[in-house]
Amino acid sequence: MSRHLKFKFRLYVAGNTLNSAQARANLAAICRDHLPKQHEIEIVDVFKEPARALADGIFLTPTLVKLAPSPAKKIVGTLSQRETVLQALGVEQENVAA
Amino acid sequence: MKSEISTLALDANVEIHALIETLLATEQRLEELTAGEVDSVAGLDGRTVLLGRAQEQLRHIEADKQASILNALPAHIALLDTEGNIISVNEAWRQFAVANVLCAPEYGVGLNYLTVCDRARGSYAYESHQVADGIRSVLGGEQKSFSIEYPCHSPTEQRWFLLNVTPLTSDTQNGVVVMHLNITESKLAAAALDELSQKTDRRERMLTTMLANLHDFAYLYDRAGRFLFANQPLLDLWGLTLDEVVGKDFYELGYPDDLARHLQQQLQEVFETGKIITGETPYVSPAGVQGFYEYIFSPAFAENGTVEFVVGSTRDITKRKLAETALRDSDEKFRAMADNITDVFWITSPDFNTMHYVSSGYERLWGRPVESLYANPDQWVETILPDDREGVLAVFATLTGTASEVSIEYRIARPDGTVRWIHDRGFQVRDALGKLVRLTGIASDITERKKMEAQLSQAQKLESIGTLAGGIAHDFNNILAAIMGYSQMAQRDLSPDSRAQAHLEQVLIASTRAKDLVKQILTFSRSEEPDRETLELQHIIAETLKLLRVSLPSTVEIRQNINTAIPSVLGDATQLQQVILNLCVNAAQAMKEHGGVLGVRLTRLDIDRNVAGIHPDLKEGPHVRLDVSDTGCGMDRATQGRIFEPFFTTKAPGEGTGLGLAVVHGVIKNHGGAIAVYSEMGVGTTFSIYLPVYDRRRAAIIHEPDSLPRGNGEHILFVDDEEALVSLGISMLEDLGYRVTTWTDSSEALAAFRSRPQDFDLVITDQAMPRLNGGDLARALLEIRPTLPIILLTGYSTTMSFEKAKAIGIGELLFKPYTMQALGEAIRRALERSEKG
Repeated sequence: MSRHLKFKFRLYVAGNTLNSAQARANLAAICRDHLPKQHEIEIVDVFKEPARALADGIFLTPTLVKLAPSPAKKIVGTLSQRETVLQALGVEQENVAA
Repeated sequence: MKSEISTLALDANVEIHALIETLLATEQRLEELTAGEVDSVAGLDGRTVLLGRAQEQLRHIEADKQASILNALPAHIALLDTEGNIISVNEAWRQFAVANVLCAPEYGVGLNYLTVCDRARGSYAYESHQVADGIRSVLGGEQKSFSIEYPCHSPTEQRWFLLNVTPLTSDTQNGVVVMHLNITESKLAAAALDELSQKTDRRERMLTTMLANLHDFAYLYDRAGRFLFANQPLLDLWGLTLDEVVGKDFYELGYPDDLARHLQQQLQEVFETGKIITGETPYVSPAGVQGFYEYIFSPAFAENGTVEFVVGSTRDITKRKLAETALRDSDEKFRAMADNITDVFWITSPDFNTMHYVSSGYERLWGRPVESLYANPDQWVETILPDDREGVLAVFATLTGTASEVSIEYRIARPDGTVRWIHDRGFQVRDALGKLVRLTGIASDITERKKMEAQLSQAQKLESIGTLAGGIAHDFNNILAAIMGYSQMAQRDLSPDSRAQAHLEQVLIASTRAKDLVKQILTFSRSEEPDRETLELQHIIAETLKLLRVSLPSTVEIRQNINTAIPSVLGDATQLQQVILNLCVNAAQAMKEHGGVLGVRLTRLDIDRNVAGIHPDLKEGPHVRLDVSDTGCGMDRATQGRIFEPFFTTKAPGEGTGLGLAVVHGVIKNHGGAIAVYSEMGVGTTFSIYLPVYDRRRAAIIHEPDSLPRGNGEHILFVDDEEALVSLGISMLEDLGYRVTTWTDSSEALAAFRSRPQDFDLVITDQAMPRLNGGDLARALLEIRPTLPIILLTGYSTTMSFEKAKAIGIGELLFKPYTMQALGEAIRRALERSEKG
């Protein structure tokens, strides 16, 4: 059933800074490998939309927010530790095998 | 005051230092907390604060990006300071520097670019100096930027560069950027393009000029038969502009429907078959220009092999056409003329190897088709009899050289084996430059002339034989006259029962035969005076037909219609028999193949004045008419018109002389008569002979043969140059009861007469005498005494005839040898006439 779950992400970045760029690349790779065709990614640049980040309670970049499925989760950093990230996001490991 | 401020400033400094310390510590702490994975933090007021490390990273990224942009540019870029020293260069510059001799340490960094340019020598010194000036002017703020294209050819290739100089920043305080861009490719492409377009331009111009100035019409059609293009001459003919023509077809251009349809069909055919089609047509332009045009429709193929357009070209051939027509007309006239002449008109090349023309007379003369001569010009030589050939060739050989005209007679053999005589005349034909271009000539058939010449020479031979024979006959007749005269006188002296009487009778018989023989000789010579005796034509006809029947084929039936109560005519029996025989033989020959009826009819008729007036040979009065008719093939008008000409014959060579009807004509004319012919092709021919009836009163005298007319002592002057005949004359005349005075010399006789002209009642004189002949003597005597009766004795005479004698005034003509009876009768007639006169 997990196959049909739709993962909604929102990544807050600070322009094209190094960590933000890394986070973006890592998120794209994770989604490609573990959640093919069942994810949505929204990128929010805090330089362009500073008010939104503040309203969402984001204080650091890069920050990944998992909007769905609930519960919502926040991960700060470059998302370079994939195992940890997957665990934190609640993505089942079988998905990898599948 | 000053220290207060300082204190304040010191306090503030301390505070600032403290804050910075805190800031740095805070940032460091953030880094620690986020393991360096955070770029920015959000302040409480909502501002995003980029962490120092991230800021630095960003700066590096930007710098790298810009450098890589510069390095990625293909232009060689160098940054010069205000002095012109090279501060920095990009990758392309470096590579260029490495690849070029101008390679310097550090790729030229540190060199003064201006100095390098100023020092340049050689091929590109001029451009280098311009570059240096340009850089200086930009550095000096005199112009915003500077650019120049210059060639920089290496030993192996042609290169062009665009050099651009711009200030690094808005003012020139930070130096300038020098950029070289290799534009060889675009330069070459542009040059090629340039050249191409120039070439295309030139070609187009050439094509336009050519098409506009073509004398011919040139045009282009599309598949629907519409004009896509027409050149100026054609537009001029139509009186239209190109725009008015494009997109229109023949109908829309006002071509007559028939012509438009025809041309449209031909166009369609070219589109379908891809073949070239040519044609000729008359055409009248809208402006009324009439002409004759020759056109060619050629296909223009598309790449896929189908016909895309049809290209047309048309030429005005009106002049040529007119000339051709004129030429054909004159040619036709010439041929009609040449073919209608019986002679052969010929034209050859100067070497005789090509026969340009030979008239149809060749077929008639040579008996061969003209085509065979065209095919084999040597045929002409081959037909010439071998004996003549060499001579002909030799003569004609001169015609190709010096002789401008030759004339020669030769014989040719026809395919049927007959031989013809040809008179051939050849002429040179030269062009305006005097070059011999043709030989021409006329060959005539002279066979008939040659035949006539031969016959003429035969006739001349016969005539000379006749003259000779006539001369002999004259002497012989005189001798015979003496023999016969004396024999007759001897008979008178002898008793009728004596043996000598019988012997003398034999002498007379032999003499008579001799006389007939002489007559035959004279007949052969055709010069004898015709015997004029009264004849009954019915007897001559009967005898002739008897003779003829034996030789006629059984298919020819003879039908006679002879009126026995026909009056006599005066004439020569032998000659008239010859006439009848000739006519009958001709008639029989006309029926040789199919048989038929030979009709002979003798009637009497009177010729009145009207008929005599029409026919010059006929006199008014009673005539006998002899018709000889056949049911043979008949003759055409042309033949009828020529039959009485000497040597004209329709018979095959050797079968007839062509003299028969000429002799008939001559004989009848000599007899004061006429001959007529009526013929119809396929029906038959009738010859009609008219002869005047002989005067009966004169005939009556002749019909008293036994009574010897005697004189009554009349005085007769007798003149003959031969003694023997003088003696004979004396004896005969005295026997007849006349007185005689004789002379052997005619001049002396004339003198004697002159001395006593009334002494003589009659003069008898021989014709042939030396010095003064009989005729002249008679003339002289009649001058003295015009009523004097004269008898002229003549043997053979070419100078005397009845007519002549009559003209002189001589009453009687007596032929030697004469009998006593004839002499007596002649004297009696002469005397009677003089009494009447």
